[in-house]
Amino acid sequence: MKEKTVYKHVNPWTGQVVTLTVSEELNKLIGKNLAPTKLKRANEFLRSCTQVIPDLSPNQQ
Amino acid sequence: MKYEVYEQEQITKDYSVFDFYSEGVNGSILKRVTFKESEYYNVYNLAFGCVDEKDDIDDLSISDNGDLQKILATVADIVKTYTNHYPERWVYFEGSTKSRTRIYRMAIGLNFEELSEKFLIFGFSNGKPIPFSKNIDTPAFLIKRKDNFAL
Repeated sequence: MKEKTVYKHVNPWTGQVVTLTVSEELNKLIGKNLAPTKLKRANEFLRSCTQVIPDLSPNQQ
Repeated sequence: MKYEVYEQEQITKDYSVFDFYSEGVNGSILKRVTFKESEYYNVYNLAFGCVDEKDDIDDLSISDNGDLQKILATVADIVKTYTNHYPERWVYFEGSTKSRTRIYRMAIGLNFEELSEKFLIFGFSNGKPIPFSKNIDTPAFLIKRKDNFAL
């Protein structure tokens, strides 16, 4: 039987322990575009922007 | 966000897909969050919704399961997990409708104090990213983990 990879982390806001299990079934989806319309819309919006990434230099913050 | 989250998530090994079940008045409904690279370096689009029969995300479905706050808190927790794994990446997202974008804006606004301790949060105005504020009328959001926070 294949061993499962499990990660746990504590939600910083509630203290709940969240369990993340790596799924072989889900791994088959890696690389696929599961929301093509959404990505297309995002790219269109970002293309329409004159600036995408904020300037995080100290004098801009 | 001081709301309860769903505690069991299935993920891909590269953290690009997160599945969890919404449990509520209409039963158990599979929800999916994905992160996909945009045309812009280090900017990843967050998509969220129910999973349809083709295994795609249906971001227009309305499950009306009575657990909106828990779902939004779970998605925020997923963004935290993702940006902890990929701290250099920006996460871009928008609602599938104007009303959903408004819900996201309200959720961020209501929890801004806590969220801004861990994330840089921007909206957009006149084609440029601007720091998020509660009254901002933005069509989309851009979030990145603050460099000095290991979440």
